[in-house]
Amino acid sequence: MVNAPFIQPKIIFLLPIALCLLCSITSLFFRRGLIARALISLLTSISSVLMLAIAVMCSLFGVRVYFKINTGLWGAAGTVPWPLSAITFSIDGLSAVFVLMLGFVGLASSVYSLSYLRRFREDYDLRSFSVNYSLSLMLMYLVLTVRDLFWFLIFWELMTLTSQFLVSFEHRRRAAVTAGLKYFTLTKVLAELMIIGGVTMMVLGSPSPVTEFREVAASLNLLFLSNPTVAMVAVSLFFTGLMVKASLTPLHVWLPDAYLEAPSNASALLSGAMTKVSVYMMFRLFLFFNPPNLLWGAILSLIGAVTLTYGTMMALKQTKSKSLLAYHSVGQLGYVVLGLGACVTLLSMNPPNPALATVAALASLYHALNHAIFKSLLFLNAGSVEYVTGTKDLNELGGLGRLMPVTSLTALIASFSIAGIPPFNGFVSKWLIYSSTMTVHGYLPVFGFLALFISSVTTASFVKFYTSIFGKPSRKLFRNAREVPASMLAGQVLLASLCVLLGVFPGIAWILLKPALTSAGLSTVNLGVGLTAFSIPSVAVNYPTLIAATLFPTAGIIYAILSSKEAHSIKGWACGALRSPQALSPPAKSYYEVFEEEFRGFYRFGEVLYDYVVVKGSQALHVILRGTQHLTESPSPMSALTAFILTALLLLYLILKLLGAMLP
Amino acid sequence: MSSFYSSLTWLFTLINVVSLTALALVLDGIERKVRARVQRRIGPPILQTLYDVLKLYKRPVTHDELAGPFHAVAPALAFAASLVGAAMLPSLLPVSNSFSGDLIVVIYLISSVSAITSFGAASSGIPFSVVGGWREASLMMTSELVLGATVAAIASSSGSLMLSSLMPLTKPASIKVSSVIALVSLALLAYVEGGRLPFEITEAEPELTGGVLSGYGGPPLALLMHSILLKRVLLITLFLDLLLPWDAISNALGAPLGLVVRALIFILALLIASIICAALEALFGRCRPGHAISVVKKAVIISGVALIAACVGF
Repeated sequence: MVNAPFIQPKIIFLLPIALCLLCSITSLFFRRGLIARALISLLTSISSVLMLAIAVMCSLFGVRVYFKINTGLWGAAGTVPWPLSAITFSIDGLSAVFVLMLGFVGLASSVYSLSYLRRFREDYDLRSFSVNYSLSLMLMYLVLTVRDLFWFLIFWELMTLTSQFLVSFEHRRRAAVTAGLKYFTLTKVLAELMIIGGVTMMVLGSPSPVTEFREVAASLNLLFLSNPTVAMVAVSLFFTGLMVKASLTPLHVWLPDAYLEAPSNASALLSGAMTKVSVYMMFRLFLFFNPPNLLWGAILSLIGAVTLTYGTMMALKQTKSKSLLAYHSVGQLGYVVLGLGACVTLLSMNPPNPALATVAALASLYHALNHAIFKSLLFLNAGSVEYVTGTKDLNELGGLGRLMPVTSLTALIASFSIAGIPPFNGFVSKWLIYSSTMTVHGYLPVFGFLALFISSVTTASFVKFYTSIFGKPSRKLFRNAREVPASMLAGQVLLASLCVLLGVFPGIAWILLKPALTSAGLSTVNLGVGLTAFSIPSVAVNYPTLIAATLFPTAGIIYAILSSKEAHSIKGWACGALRSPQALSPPAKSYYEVFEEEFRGFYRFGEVLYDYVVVKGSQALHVILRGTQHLTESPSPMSALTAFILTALLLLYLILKLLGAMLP
Repeated sequence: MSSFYSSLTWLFTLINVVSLTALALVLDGIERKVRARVQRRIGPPILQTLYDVLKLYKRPVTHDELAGPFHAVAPALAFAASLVGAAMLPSLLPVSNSFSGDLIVVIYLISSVSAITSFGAASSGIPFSVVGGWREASLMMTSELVLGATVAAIASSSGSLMLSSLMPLTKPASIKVSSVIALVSLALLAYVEGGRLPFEITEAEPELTGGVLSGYGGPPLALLMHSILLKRVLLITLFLDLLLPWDAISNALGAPLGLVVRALIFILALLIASIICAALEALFGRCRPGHAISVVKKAVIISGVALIAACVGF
């Protein structure tokens, strides 16, 4: 363990929180204008840089952050053991990885905000954005670093609250408000299940209630021994809450609307970082708390495979830039969860396969990191396009490649990365997923097959995304389109360079991710990883750096030779048709009509599933809500009295339980 | 033997890449001749494709003013990707032991040729090219449905994705039902992904006037044609690598002679495979895009059987 010589890690740890709070308070005084934008952009950027610093310190230099803050609530510290008197914070390898993702995404979208928020200068008061953006950033950071399940749940709920205001920021548009409500209702309702699950884990396992993560893990293990059914139910309930935030099918329904309607810098933060917060807790739950269990391995892998298939196939059909990206967020999260599921399966199968389990966990974390980067980049790209043209409709867009060269290049890099074209970053993490799922017997190869197929669907849908914005000419002319301002470009270029760097040099990702694997108790000795190559002995081998070192120079030389040759220009050609090629330019909706028609069975199945799970599920919920509405709006004296007595009894019980827990 | 290989890795790789690149053009010439003979035509000379490409290289480059910036870059990138693919795959000569390729990496490099072509073609200002780009992507998705199951079956039954341990899948000691079915499916894919009739919907000369190619002229056109032809050869090479015991051939006869014999047999195998493909191609007309996708989609039954067999250990 090396301690940083000059600055206390504790101060660096607390600074981002302080800066975010400062931002949310000072921004209350500025409604609009440059100062408001500069304030939010600057403070949240610095805060993100500090997050990056602490993450790098923890994962690279082994700096250990672990301390308690006494809140002063509920008596003096030390006398009251549970649970409000103190908060424990700690950054281990796993937290560091996710703080790193948050730092990258936060930095890029905060820098980007400086100019992007000018879009709203006429119509909206920026205060609601600034306060909630900085608080969301802070709360995500707190959720990732808190080491106490009770406080985790509190920060989690607050994070949901602040982020839903970001979704419905453009409150004059009805769609934005509806999307915000949908997001809030669904995540909030299912977070209640998470609270029940969490409290069960804290209270039931050990003789006295515990909240610290390590103690919760021990308590859950005891609960598994004494009452496996209750333990299983608790884990399931907790997982359901995580699932809705990570937008796993069938609980993804809030996500496409929310990301479509939120401002693009917020979409980038939500898609890049907030879904990962949930993945972080899944790692904690299944690798730290819950002993590896074949059933959970199967459930996670199945949910991952279903999510990646459904999300991506739906993305293929979308004709709005941001809803296409939103459905891809669902799909890519499926890859991440499949990796985790494969890890749990490989650890718990008979005989266990710890070497491949490490690969699967690495694949999952690597893909989460990559997804944080390329998806937030894509949202920023879509935001830039909307900033310039005012539209998200792929059918209308087109021909912007020459007008917005930098945005176009970064979008191309992001598209190649998410499509997994070698040697960009998505390729390496997908390769790890295939290597860990396909090379065993059992059900995992089937999911690996789906992952490989869906990867090509991802490629095809980014052919659509990229070419219908930056490639083929549009029917509508965007004569005034210009490249976006420098701060927006800076955010995009930062992320695009990370896409290339993490793809070409997987060793960098390995250095950052390895502490997370060791902190989860996974053995990393069997992997051969240098800066330039990955090898899983006798299973698979990959040389991304070598591929890059041959591919790019070869292409560059060929292109240079082509450019040096004599050239003449043509202005489109429509086989002699009299109308201009612009007028004939086919719209985005017809890209994969034939394919969608041939796979209509799949889409039909998806609709039926949606109908049963989502529509029928919410109808059932509606019936319950109607019941409570009846009780509150037209209560008969008798029913009101019954409800009152029941509530009072419940409260009394809880208070007694709590007192009993606190007394030694 | 292995140290002899590793000292010559770069030379071997270079020989493989150069000869596959040249063979791609010659084999296409032979295929055109075979197709013509099957249809009772005389057909062009065997080196016609080579002449075409050489002539195109001399022509000026045409720039499409309405196209997006990636349109002009795509042919160079696609060609580079197919060259890297050729370097990773053992073909005429082995790729050294210290540098064993990976099935997924090779497949990704080969299919990135399709992806890049599709990105480039759909960036074009010419509607025919855009439609060709969509079709390329649609066909790619459908064939990866089959390919995914095939690769998963191969990996699951062999427990590895490294080409050195997969070659060949037909090792007498450890031959499995799933591997054999997967090989059949791989052969079908080599045919389909090669963009051959009746699945040649992306260029579709009479309908789309060249489709993906229609936005290009001169050297870029030659490069893109060449990379598509090289992709075809790579697909067949991958199939042959997994089918026949190449290392056994070269090891049996000692270093220099074994390698020469191996190279000759390889070229012969490539030639036979090309002729079979060409003869088949001569029998078909072009499918409608939907029909092509529907037919390819059904091939997942074959690879699916292989996958299920592999998953349960057969």
